Amino acid sequence: MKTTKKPSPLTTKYIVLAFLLVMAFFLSIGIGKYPISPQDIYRLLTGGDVSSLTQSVFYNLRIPRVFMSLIAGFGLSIAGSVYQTIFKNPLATPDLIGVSSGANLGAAIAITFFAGGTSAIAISAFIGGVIAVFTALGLTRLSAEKSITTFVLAGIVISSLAQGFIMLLKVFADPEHQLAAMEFWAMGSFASITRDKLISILPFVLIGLIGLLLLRWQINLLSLSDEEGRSLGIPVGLIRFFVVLFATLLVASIVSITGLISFIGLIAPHIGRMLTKRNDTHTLVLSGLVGALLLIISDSLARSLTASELPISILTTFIGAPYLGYLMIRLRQS
Amino acid sequence: MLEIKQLSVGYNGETIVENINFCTHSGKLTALLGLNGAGKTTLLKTISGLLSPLSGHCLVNGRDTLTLKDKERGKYLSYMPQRPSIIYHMPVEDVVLMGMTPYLGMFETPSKKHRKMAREMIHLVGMDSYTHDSFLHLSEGQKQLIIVARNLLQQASVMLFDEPDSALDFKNRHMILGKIKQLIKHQNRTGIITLHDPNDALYYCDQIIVVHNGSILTRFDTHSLDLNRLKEIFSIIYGKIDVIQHEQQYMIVRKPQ
Repeated sequence: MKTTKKPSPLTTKYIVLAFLLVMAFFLSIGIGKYPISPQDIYRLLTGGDVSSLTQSVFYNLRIPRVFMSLIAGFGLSIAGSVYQTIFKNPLATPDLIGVSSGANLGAAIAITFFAGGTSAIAISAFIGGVIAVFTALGLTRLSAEKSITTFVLAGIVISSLAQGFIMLLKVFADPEHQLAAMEFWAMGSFASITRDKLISILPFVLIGLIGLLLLRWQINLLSLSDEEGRSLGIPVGLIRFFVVLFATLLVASIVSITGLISFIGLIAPHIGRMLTKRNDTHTLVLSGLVGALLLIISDSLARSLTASELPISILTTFIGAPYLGYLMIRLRQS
Repeated sequence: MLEIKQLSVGYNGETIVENINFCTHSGKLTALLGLNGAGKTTLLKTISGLLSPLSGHCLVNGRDTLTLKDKERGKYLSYMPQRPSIIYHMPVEDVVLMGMTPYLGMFETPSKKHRKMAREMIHLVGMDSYTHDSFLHLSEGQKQLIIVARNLLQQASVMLFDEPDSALDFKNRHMILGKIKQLIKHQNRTGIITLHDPNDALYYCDQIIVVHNGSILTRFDTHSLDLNRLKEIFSIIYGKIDVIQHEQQYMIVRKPQ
């Protein structure tokens, strides 16, 4: 008699997460200032009869927005997981080398000097994020010591400088419009996501994701000390450079159109490691799925909790900070 | 075969040990002995390629490994640090699989065949029942055995061990040294190990190289020893010592005050 082979625990986790993600995705599509009922969603997907307004909201606003929250959650979590691995620090975030501060400065410059048009902000934020990271990498090359500490210090230098310039811009900004725009950008939002914006960043997101997934084995070995990594044949400096490059493309492209999103890149990898009890490619992918789920849920709440939309980082902070507190307690108990 | 020719080692512009010349063969374990700061680890790390040499050559089967890139060198030399640096939970099999990395392309991951080879190495060190356990849950001695298995998987003809016993208790120290000696002999590798305890070197190693005052003081085969010669050599570095014989084994003891 044939016995059915049970799926492995890991496969079960993938299936459960994928199912939750699909459920969250379709639920999220219906939520917003213009709610779309499940019946209308079904009709939209099967070519049924739906009002043109519903169609417009669905295709031009809701689908791009929910897809973007999925992509942003997935991408930021993977970048966070990778950084926690290669910098051997479970508290590392995608902002470690300064990409977020650089993007923030880029956005602030666009708001102050280029009338704050959405395209100008996105392009400026992307360029700002990339320049910040390359400047940090350049700083590490000037240092005689090429260790993890050097990278972290360089990131702190660049982030601090960027924050200094942002503060300067805020001092001279018009308080009614520019200052408010800068503050809201820094809190993150999916409200202005459109299909065109999503498509414009997709190439960078894909390059970043594919690059990181292709280097997954090398990333795994970068969790060792540089000495051990080199003795096992890893060109540590080169791999670290490419990993930072791909992660930067991924994060910079996401935050250029969403603004800053806090905590997802920090907590999703922890949940991924809790689920897999290891730190490998499965952890990376599961972290991404967890991050996508968290962000879809957060964005759904952001759109529905109050009359006016809440910036996304408020939700992710109120989810992320208590979770970190819980981790601290678990750590103490273990 | 490993041949060190005119090697000088150091860092930050300072020469620590100079004019090093020795060779060692497959199936033999060579100990580097000396006081703290003598340059044993600097020498070992330079041979492994982790530090740049000041001058000289390191020939493995005729190939100067000091001129190779890390990836290529990883096929000739394996290096075992004092303590592994793994901080995240990882199955034991995956830790051993890391030894396959010098043979993998930039975007390649280990295959089923590589996993089978990793399990064979785990079997060689007697850790089969821990294959799927988390590395971090192992004892220190068990962790060192897994790192030995990882280094075996590298299939490097020269295996370098940097005080692998330093964090281990008496029992585990002898366990790991015994295992290293056995594997070097039966897998026909060339082994170099830095040790603090001369008695461990006398018991487990085939050759001892003494590093002292910036140079190689002496080099001798442990299978053809002279008690007086031993006393003369070790007195230079350890001061007031005596050499006693116990069951055909020489041991260095501190002279009573």
